[in-house]
Amino acid sequence: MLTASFSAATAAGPGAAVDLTQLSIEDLMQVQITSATKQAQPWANTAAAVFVITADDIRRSGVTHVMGALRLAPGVEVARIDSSRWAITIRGFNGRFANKLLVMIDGRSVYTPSFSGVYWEIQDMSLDNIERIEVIRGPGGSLWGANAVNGVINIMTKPASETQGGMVSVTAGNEERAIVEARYGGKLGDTAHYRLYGRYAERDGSVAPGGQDAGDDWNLQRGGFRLDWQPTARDSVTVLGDVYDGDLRQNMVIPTLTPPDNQRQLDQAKANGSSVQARWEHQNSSTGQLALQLYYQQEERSDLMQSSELETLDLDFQHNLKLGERQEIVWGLNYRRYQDQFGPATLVSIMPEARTTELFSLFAQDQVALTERLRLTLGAKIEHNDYTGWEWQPNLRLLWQPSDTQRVWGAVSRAVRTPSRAEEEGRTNLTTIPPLPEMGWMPSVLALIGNGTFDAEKLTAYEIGYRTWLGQDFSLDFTTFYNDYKNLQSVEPGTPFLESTPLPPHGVFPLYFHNAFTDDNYGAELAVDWRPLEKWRVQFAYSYLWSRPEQKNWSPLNQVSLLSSWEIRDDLEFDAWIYYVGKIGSLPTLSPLGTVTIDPRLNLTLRLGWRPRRDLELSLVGANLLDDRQLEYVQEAYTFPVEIERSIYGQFKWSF
Amino acid sequence: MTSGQASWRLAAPWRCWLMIAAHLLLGGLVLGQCGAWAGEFDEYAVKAAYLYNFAKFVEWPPGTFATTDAPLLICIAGDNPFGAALATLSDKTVENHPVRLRHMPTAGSLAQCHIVFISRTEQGRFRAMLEKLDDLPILSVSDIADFTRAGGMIDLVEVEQRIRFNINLSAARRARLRLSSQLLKLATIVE
Repeated sequence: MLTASFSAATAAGPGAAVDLTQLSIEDLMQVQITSATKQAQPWANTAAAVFVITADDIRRSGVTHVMGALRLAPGVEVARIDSSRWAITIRGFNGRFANKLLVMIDGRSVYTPSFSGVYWEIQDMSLDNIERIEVIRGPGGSLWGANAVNGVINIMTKPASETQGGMVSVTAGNEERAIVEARYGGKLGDTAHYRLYGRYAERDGSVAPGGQDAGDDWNLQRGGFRLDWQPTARDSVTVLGDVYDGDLRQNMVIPTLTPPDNQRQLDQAKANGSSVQARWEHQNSSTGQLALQLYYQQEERSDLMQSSELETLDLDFQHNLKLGERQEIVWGLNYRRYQDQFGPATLVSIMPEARTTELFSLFAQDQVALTERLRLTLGAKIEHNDYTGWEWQPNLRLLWQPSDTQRVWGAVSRAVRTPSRAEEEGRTNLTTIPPLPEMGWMPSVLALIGNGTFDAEKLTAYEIGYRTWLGQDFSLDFTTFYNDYKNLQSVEPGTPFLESTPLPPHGVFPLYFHNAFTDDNYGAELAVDWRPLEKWRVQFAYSYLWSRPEQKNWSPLNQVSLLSSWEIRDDLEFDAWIYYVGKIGSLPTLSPLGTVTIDPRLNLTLRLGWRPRRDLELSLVGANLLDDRQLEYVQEAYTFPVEIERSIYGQFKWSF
Repeated sequence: MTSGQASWRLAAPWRCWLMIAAHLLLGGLVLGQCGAWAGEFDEYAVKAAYLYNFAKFVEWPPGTFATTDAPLLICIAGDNPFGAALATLSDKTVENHPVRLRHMPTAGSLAQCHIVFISRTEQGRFRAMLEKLDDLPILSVSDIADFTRAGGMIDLVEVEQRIRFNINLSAARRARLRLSSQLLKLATIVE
């Protein structure tokens, strides 16, 4: 009966319109649908440049840390400085302390206000617990607040109901020396699911320019839980907790006041912290939804730059409301409090040593269906911060649906990056300048000084995007943008002065933080997802970014990522991932090295995955295969270039 | 996502050749997949056909239809994921009732519908919607995860690249809908 009905279909050729309503229910239950894992994408109707990295993509790419997975998205620059330091940004302005990207894990911000950036090494989390990573390029200021200037990365973990049972995973290799993970998930009664997890990761160091070991191996331990509870039909509560402890070793070239004036030192850094987060969602009617979230985060870090403790408390409220047939309104309030404490440190001093800063914000967004095919979104966020007072971030978006399988969107947005503690009240000693006659033959130190006048950086961005899909096997997403920055961080040399502590007496050449730079850049991003065969999928991402040559040129012009995933058999898969990063012509560093050029690089990762039994997964991965060592990036200060080595590792994962 | 559009998958004979070439390049592994690609269909074309079948195998309480040839309303609540796949239903008839389709983005006046399909975009709101439909003789269908466990009547799930359905019988009984035994024996009964 089945073959008889289908012969008509195949005779007509694939893709011809077939009336499935002629089939009986028994036959319908046997009909095979195309492409197993593509869910209806809710983001197809988003008027923004969104790319979603799924749990499967992460697994196929063979990465062992979330930072590597970000390379799959167009528009994201991911550069590994050394074994534990990364420089990650969206659409330019990269650096260890890249400050134009907001990163969140389950709605909790991991952006540090001390230096305006993200310490990626402490975000090394269990990849198996990640459900997806949403990469939103372009200003997210209206929804996500200040510091989402060039984009937002939202890492979302799996609900506890999807990680039931036990799981143990062991990874070992030459660079990934040992990564051991254990997880257990269960139920509490009928309405709650939980999971507990622990992870220990130890990684080998990179290689110094001469070929010797750079000594920067490191380890990070982490553990935590997630609880998802459904007390009533309309309420859901999620509680998350996480604790981490890391021992890091990071090479820096630091100023000393005695010869040799700038010396390499292997910083033995420690970082530890914990966070707890609770979220409650309530459907109050068929048209409305409320969400309330509270989190508390505590972090300690001690390295050559700081000896600090930071506590964050965040309270967030959001209300979604459908108004009539055509409108959807989202609005919310947020309160965040940072309490920090800086002790004495070798390179940076912050005055006052302790400070409490508060942030209040209100946002609202209205999405109106002007016609069946045209949708307008208007939104704004108003924020008050202790350094620059009131800031507002409006945006306007338009989404047009020319056909069922195409979308065109455009957006104009404004975003703001608020000052960090270091830019307002810090003094950062960068390098030693050897004795000079004008300094009475004393050595001097070049120092970045914040004198309380630093203002917020501003961006106005214009974006246009196009999205299309054909059947279930091909989708294309294209975005082009123009960014206009004002008030960008600049430094102005001030009058040199003398100081006598710490000994020996020395001069200081101050560089005061100002906002005198304006800059603009433009570019395009393309993502294509194609399944030419049922068992073969190809994901392609291309980024193009043009920055003004006379300004700092620290981004590659082109980046390409190509991931090929092939299911050889039901239990065997083979993945090949190539990515290319173009040359970085003149990366400015505030170090004796001056401007650094980084050659274009081509990286290849190959992965073979085997599932001998339903509960066992084995894989063998080779990353950075084309070069035994390669320079990817350097830190923008205290620069000590090291190279990243070829890595081969095996992984064993058992679920029970 | 619409059926009837040219797919960007390679046509059957070319797929076989490409697979053979790919396998030869890697030392010849067992094929065995070429013949099975007889036909694959768009997920929502299959779900639309299911809606039609449900209409055929469900009996509404007497008095639900004003006349013997009053239209049978199938409503989509939320964004419409079917695209052109619903077009195949628009000229059908079930027991003399012509099938009519309505798209209700805000689920405003669902009370007049006979079948309501709740789309995934309503994931955050559907429970409140089900409470409104409670006790009304309306068949609720969806592909939102755990729909039947949350009180919905029929749940469409993907199992090994096929669409299967689960039925929450007590929810259907409360609404005084009678589901044909032909439907019940093929479904997984959730409760």
